Amino acid sequence: MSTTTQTVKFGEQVDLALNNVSLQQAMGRAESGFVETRRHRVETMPEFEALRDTARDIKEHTLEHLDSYLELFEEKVIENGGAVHWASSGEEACRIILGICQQADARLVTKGKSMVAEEIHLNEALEKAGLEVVETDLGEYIIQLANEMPSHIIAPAMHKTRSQISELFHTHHQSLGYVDKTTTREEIVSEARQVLRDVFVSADVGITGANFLVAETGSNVIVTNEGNGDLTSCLPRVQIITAGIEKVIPSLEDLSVFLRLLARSATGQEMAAYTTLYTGPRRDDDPEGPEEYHVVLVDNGRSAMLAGNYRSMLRCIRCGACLNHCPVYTAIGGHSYGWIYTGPMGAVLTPLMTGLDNAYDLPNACTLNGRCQEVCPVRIPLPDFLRQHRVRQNQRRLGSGLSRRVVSMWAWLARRPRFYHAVMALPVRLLSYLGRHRGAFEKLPFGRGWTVVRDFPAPTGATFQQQWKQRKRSEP
Amino acid sequence: MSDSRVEVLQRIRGALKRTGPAAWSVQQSLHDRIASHRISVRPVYGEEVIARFLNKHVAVHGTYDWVDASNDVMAAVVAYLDRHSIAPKVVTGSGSMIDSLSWPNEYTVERRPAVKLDKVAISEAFVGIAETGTLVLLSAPSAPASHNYLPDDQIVLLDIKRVVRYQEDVWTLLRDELARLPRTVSLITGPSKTGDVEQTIEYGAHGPRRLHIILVGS
Repeated sequence: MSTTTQTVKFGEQVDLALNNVSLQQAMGRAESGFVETRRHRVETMPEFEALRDTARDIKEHTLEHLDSYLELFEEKVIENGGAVHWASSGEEACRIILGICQQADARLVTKGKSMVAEEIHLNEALEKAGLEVVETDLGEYIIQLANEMPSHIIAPAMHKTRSQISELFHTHHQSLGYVDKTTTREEIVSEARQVLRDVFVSADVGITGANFLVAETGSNVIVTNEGNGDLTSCLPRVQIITAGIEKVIPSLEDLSVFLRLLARSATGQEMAAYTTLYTGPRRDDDPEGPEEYHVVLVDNGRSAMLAGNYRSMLRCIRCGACLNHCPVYTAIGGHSYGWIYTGPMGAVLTPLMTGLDNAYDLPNACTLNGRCQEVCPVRIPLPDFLRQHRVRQNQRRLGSGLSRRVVSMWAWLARRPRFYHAVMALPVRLLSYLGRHRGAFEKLPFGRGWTVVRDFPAPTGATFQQQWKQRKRSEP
Repeated sequence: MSDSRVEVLQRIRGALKRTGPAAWSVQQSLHDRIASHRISVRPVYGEEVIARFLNKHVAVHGTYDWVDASNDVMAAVVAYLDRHSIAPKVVTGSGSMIDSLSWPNEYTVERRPAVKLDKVAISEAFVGIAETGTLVLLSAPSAPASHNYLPDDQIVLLDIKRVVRYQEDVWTLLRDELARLPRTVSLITGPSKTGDVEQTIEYGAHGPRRLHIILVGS
């Protein structure tokens, strides 16, 4: 399986992220933007919960008959004059796509945003073979110039400030004749539009992902706000679609259920600006459009997920709602997760795809507050999966010996409630006594992580359980 | 057929606790499910469709003119181009409304796919969806999809009789009216936009900066 494991330790990444002022500003904006607009949309749609149930059921039904629906989809694509390629692994998918590009004598490739392409390291594979690959989603284009990974599924460059983007453009666009530095948002977007326009019209191959594959018609569906995916699909001679095998859904009516959920969950829109169904290559009388239409179905570990306890993770439609609502993600940003899938869905997927020991910290960096599950449009039990990861890590004796010993000690204690309460009351009494004058501590042994940014309030003498009992007794 | 096709399908079937394809009766039930065109949950709304369609379109930054008859379309097009100081040079396709336009002499009208320097495209919509203020445009030899994505401005003519209530109505009309799904079915809801710089919406990312509807009929 082609993956990159974390090069810098998770803890170090988190420290860097928390002290990165511009990142913290960017994450703050995301919290207020995506979360608020989604809340508004959901509140004004009484059918939203029923839609989530329906979407979950459609996905479960499709997964239960995945082989049949994929074959139906394939049959339709071929009927429409397209080709379907099956890739067992990421490397194989890259080989197939490179083969199509070379067969077409391609030199320049445009790409719409595709998480699968990120997952299989497609750009690297194509560039190594001498092709020029240009990302066309503005966010993806920015991180391509910066040579970074996406930090969010639908807003890949959300960690970048305007002045950082301005600098990047100034560095890379001067040779194209853009000598003056653009600084306003409008100018930045306009400059990218102009620069990428030349790329769109001269590309030989266009590669996009697929939000959905429709078995009924053999269509791939892409959803964007910028229109870059459509220029990537319409203009080049060859169109290639990369899609995980879980992207197939049965019918157009099913598609409507997901379209109603996707934009609302992702950005709080009712519909993204562009939702397009592509069905095969150009028709005989069409004056434009690709002569070749290829769909590359990527397994890369998905069939293994289908077999096990994590099947419902394959329902994920990559909307990003779990990221936006995760207090850990919004504090540390996507790059801390070390791979392209981030936030709660990433903390579940990354260990499944790269190995539990390669992503030890991710399932543990979760407060289990459950917000991700509350907003997931297809009701994936993300916190349960993260807990399962932790159990499996413990069973396989991963993680430091110290942390496992501490957890076992705590477990031993927690199973003996009377003893547990007696032991817990000791430090509470001690801290209460020591802090009786100031009411708070500036420093604590083993507590520097807390006290370095705030004081630790001194307990008042009794534990919660003791106070609870006392109150119960004093009630009439 | 490649080995990987066999391998992936085998792995999927293994995961589903089967050794071969699903039983014929099961496959038939999947065909039936698709053919039933079963509609599940839709947002209930009481508004009249035209009002809803226009309100939703405006809410996503679209603009519109509403003219009584197809005779009035030409004047609305000319007024739009004047209003935005766009030179009288358009790229367009063909369709019952477009074909009946009598272009002023100073206009250059080209019927071909869009190219990089085209400023404005004039298209005809298949339908509008009132639910979300969405336009549906179909590609055809006389309606290149590039018109929807490349020019700075797109003007879309829409017959008032062709505004449907729900998205599913589009699928029904496509099945009823066309022998085959066109290569491109474009659902367009407002002009192009991006939130990739500071999570703040800017219009005109890659597709049209402005989307203008001329609604025809009363």
